[in-house]
Amino acid sequence: MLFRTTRHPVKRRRLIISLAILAILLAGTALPIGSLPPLQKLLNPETGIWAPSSPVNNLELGQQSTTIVLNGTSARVDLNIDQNGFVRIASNETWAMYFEQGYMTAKLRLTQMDFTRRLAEGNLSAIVGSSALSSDEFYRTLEMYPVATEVINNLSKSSAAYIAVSSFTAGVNSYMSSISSPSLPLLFKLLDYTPTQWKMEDTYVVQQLLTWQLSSSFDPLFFNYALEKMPENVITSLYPAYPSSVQFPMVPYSLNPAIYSESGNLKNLTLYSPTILSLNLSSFQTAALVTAPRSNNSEANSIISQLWSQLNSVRTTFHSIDDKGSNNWAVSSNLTGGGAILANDPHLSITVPPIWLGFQLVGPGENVIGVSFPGTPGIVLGHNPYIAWAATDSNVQATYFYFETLNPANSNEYMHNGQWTKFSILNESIPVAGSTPTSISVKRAINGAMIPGWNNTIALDWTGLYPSDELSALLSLDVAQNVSAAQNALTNFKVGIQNWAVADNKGNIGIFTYGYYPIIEKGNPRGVLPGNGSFDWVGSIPLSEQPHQYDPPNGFVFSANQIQVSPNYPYYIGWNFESGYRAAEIFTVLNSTYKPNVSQMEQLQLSNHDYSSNIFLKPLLSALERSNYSSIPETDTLAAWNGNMDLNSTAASIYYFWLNSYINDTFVPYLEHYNITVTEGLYGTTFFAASNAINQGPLVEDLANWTVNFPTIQWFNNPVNGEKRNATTLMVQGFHEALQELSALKGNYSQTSWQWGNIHTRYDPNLFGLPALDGPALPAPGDDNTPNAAYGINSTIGPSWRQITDMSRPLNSSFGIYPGGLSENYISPYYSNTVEDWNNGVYYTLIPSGLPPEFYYLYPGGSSSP
Amino acid sequence: MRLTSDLYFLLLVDLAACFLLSYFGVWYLAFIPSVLIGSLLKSRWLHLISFGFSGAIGAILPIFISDATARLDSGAVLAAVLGLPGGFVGPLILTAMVAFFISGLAAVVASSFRDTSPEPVAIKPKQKV
Repeated sequence: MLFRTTRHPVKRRRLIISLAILAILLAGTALPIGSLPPLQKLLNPETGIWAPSSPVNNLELGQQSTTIVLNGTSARVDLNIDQNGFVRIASNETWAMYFEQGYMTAKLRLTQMDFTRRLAEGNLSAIVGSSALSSDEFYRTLEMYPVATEVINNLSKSSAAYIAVSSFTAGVNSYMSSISSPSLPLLFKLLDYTPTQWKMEDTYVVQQLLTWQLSSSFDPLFFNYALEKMPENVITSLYPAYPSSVQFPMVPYSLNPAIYSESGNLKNLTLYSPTILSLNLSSFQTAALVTAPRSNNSEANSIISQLWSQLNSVRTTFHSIDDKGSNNWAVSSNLTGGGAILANDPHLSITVPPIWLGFQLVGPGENVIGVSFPGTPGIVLGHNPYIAWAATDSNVQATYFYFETLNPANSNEYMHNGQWTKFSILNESIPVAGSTPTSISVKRAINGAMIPGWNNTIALDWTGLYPSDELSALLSLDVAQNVSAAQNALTNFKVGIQNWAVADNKGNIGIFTYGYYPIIEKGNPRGVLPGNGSFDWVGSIPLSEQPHQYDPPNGFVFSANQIQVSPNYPYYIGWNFESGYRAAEIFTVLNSTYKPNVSQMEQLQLSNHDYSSNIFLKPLLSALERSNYSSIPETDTLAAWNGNMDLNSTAASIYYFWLNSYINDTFVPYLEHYNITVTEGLYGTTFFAASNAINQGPLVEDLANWTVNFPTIQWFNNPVNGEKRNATTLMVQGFHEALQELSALKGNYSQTSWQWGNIHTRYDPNLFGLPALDGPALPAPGDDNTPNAAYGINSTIGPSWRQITDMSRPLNSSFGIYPGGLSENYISPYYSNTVEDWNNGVYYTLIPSGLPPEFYYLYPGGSSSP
Repeated sequence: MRLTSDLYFLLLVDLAACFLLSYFGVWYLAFIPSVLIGSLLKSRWLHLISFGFSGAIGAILPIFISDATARLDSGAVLAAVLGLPGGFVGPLILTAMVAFFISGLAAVVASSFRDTSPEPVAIKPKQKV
């Protein structure tokens, strides 16, 4: 018999089709999907998203011991982790203590550390793509990495800072080596990358980023804009160089006249007119500007509005830190009758994971507890057995702007001291995920870094552009044994000037606003200065004349971002300070409390009293009395109000909305009249006015002054239509609008639905901008002006760390809390576990009883060695 | 149409093989056992769907055998970040579906190849008229 072969055509078609689909499926799941990694990788049950990320399954609370070996030397480390957000480390070797701090920081916050350094070094685009390119370009101009390298090169290898940073770095890398790729935190898997080894420079870069975020301001650009658009008499009245309203200076003339004794630079400056006349801001068209979206308003293409949108892009790429204000104070033993007491609550971004990580570090001659920034060794704010210290942002001007005249024949040269001078140029390549690297030239003039994308005409001079070693100052604070030693340590703190309050166990107190204060000899530093060499920085205010107090006779020191000095201080240090209401509240309470104790200090720190109500409420009620609103329940509620922004207060809601309306009704017409429009990107900043501007900026201070002292001053009149207005008419108008707003928001007036707690919340957004991983939103008391600050209606900024320490009993009577938790891992039980306690005003005992004796080292009853 | 005991055995083998592949981090290779086993089968749809299921179950089993809670929580986080409803269920179904199609399609391919293999057909000799 003969045979032939045959194939079934239908089945062959099925084979081909199924083979094709299988091939497509395999290939498709092997390719990235947008910014996500391939599904084969992402959904891999063993190595992908299903693999538990560290440290959720290996974070053990309680006591542990381990032996660390580094460069052939070994040391024992005792570790104790508590659910209140503190990691306690004790070792008889200092290097091992910092090594373990690095190890634990990486274990708990690796993503945060990596994102922070990437942001500072201009390396975010490498993982998130071109959306972060403008951020990267901007941060590369600040040259934080080269500055960090220079700082490290200047360190002695036997210095405390070198030992701390190098050991910390080794600890971070030890942790990174110990985990497998499947155990990497969520974002590494989502963005499909593995973090590179930590370097010493990264620690300094993280610290530089923090000082940048705390000290930088673009106000001079905005202000130059105002100077050009508004007549000098308007500038003088609306934007005085010294706050026009109530302020309690941190170091008034009466308490330290010595710092006022020398003649300074203030009288040589012109603070009300532009140094650069007719600086046509809209003429600075650049490539970036041309490609940016334009509105019909030609003014919208101005350099300022473009810069503002660029800054917004920088700010929203990664939450990092927003700084609104802070409180600190110290009360001496003379006033308390016991020990000195210190209190601190820095108002920074409230995020999950939090910007802080709590540590107790015990090493030879050292036992310090407090909070640190993930990425840096040591403790930033806290106490040891001898001193407690606290910081608030000084709001001292640290950024100055210069207009550089370019050589028409060579754009790499600018005019300085009559000569064409070459920019120093650093060519950089920015890696971009999913795209080719972008090359940029970072230009540096004598007057600072040239802002990218602006035709290289505006230089930004920031004190942090030059090497300085704040970390050494902080590490010295960790081991300081009295206020004088702390004062000495702080002389090395140059950039990101803080108001440092200190209290020691001998009952002494002090406050020191030390740092590098640039001096220029003429011109208007409030605006943009010419970069021609005549307006350069010529030095810093001498240390002895910088604001400070040591054991003042009134028995307390305090700061809340108000101006540090009285009007007769002879140097220019800035002008855009906070309105001073928190400072006034703190001063009033401290000045009137007999023998203040820890409990009273807690009450003050948690106080929801808005001091601005002391100023505005009486005139408002008086105005309402003479209006159609004299006998309505809303007015009655307000009349019975005590000024507290409490959860159950209806008057608090009315007052808050009223004050916003009053500010805006008064000043927005000026912005309209002088063509400072919303599309300019300026209206909406607290500098000019904002939907929520009750806490800071000069305008609210003007308003307080005029309302009380000059209720019919011409500046109440509407400049747009010439309408005659005064404080009374505007207050009534604001009241009407407030009631309308609240009605639209919560329905008709009701004692329950209009309660502040039904309107005002705190919530903790995810640090990496992933809304699904946000912390809880909670009804919250307080507002922008209360010591227990909660800025805005949906507040994401507030007391990021609360500390009260009685230095006569620092072991038993020191309390603190930060909102969030230890871990950055969303599914960890320690991701946001302290938020509710924090919102409810709970404090944790910082060094609780029952710990192993090494954690009480240097305290009475502790072990004799770490 | 009923599954025979032989087929049950083959499905179990496929499930075990897919589990091991997944456990060792190469879950996407689930097509290999399906190809091998599928080549022994005739391409009946029920069989092929069964292999899809066995592959999918084998692939997602490692999620449940250790740290199941943490793993499912991780899946829920992914769902939340991507805006998928239903917590971990969405990513779990997605994972299972990928394994299902890889395994099932591989079985289809293999069995179809077998079905379309050349078969001897008798040629009748021409009859002499």
